[in-house]
Formats: sequence, structure tokens, C-alpha cells
Amino acid sequence: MGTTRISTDFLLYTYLTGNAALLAVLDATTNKIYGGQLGVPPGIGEPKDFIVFANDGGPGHPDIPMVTERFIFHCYGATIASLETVYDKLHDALQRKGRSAHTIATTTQVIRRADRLYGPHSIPEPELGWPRKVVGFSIVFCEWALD
Amino acid sequence: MRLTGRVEVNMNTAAVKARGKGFSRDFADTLGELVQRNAKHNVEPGVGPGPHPHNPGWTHVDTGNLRDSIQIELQSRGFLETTMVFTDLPYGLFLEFGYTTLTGRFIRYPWLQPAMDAARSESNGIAQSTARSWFSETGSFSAGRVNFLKDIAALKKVWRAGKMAW
Repeated sequence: MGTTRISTDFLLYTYLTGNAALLAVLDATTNKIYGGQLGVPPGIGEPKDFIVFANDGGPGHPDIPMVTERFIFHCYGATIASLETVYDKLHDALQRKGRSAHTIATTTQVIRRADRLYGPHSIPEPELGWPRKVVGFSIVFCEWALD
Repeated sequence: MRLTGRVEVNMNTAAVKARGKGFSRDFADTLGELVQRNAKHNVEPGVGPGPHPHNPGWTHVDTGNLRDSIQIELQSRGFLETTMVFTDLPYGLFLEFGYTTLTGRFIRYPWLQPAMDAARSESNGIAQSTARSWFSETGSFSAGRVNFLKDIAALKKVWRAGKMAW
């Protein structure tokens, strides 16, 4: 265990943007995956295939250096059919996946395990009318980087 | 040669089953009511972000409709006792998970999940107090303390009789 505390948001973003199967189904003209805050990002004026996610926090383990955090994902689709594909690939990328190590700024940061917590709920954007699926995952991280 | 005494606890008795089911139902009911109470508090007029925060100046008022719509329902299926806390108002769902307005602003006010988290943090204590009322010898809420006092009284009797040195 090192001395660098990890940013779980950035680590998850790194993991998802490194998943070729997921990136392949997302819209090529946008940034595809947006971490840190929910809502339709500025500059997107029509329905596209993209994902936004945010951290809802969670407890640290009292005895071992791990944290369990809840993440909420909003999947958007240009069509209802493409939204299903986007959600499927996100699900495949996360559900029951364990032990994924990533090199960030010369440190090794580890996602221990991800499990679906709730959803997927089909909740179209009420004002925009865009198709959307909402899903939550519980993700366990090593609290410190292995540097 | 070994001499063995064996103690067995048979869970497959009608009395244990009946108390187990009663405990589970009571526990689920109490937790569900706590979630409902917390959730109602979270959307109480004046507690949340207020009505239509993306349209300041509008004449909408915080009616408390969402608070009043939060219901509770018990379900019993097999070994599972479940309490559902829910609302049928669509904007309760939109507030919980968030939505983007036509002006591009994102509105979100989770009110149910925090209510569940708060109840979960109290669940151990509720489980203990519920278990005490279902599984204690006397069935009373303070059975543990009563038994403790009985033990002290018994020990005093023994001591007075000179059969035990303190």
C-alpha cells in the first residue's frame, strides 16, 4: 500500500474509457462517457449514445484500506434500441467484475469489485423526452494506490 | 475413551418458527416505518430545495403532495418479509434520480435513498430491541435487565446463606 489516495471517480472513468466494447457502441462525435456529475452535458442538443455518471459516496472499511462507493449511471441513447445496447455494454463492463488494476500517474490503482445495486430503470428525460436508463452500482476500491 | 455431552438446538419447532416469523415481520415493519418517516421528512415543505428550483419566481408552492403520497406496504412471501416504501407520483421518481431541464440545468434531490441509508444505520439497534421482545423469556422489552436483577437477587440469597464467599 502506498501513500497516494485515489480518486475513485477518475479511476472508474479510466476503467470505463479503456473498455473497447463499451466505447464501440457510444456516439463517436461526443466524449462518450462523462464522469463527475449527472445531467446532459453542455453542447449536446439532441439524443445521442452516451453515459454520464456520478459518485454518491459510501463507507470505508473499518479494518482494511478499502472503500465501498455507490455510483449512479445515466445511459442515453439516440434511439430506444441503441440505448439498450449502451446499457448492455455498461452492464457487461461492470457487473460482477473484480480486480481491475490501472496505472495512473505512475501509481497502480485497483477496483476490487462492482455489483449492480438497483435498476436498470427506464426513466426518459421528462422535459427533453430523450430515452434514458438509470442504474446504480456498488463498487469496492482499494483506498490507496499501490505505488 | 471419551465422554461426550451434546447440546442440540432444534430450530424446526413450531414455537421457534412462529416467533421467527413474528420477529421478521415486526423487524421489517419497524424498519419500513422508519424509512417512510425519514423520507417524509426529507420532502417536507421547507426542508428540500423548494418547488421548481429551476424556475425561480414562479408562483408554484410547496404543497407537501409528495410527502403525503409516500406509502408503506408489507409483503410476505415464503421466508421473506418485505416492506415496500413507495410513491406513485412521477415527480418523486424524477427528483430521486434527477433530470435535465429544457434550459440545460440538472435538478436532483434524492430523498428515498438517504432515508434508507439513515434507517440502515439504525437497523442493528432495532434488530436487537425487536429480538428482545420476541425471544426473551418474559417477552417483555426489558427482559434482559429483569433477568439480570433476578440473578443478583438469587446470588444475594446464596450469599446470605453463607454458601458463597464474595
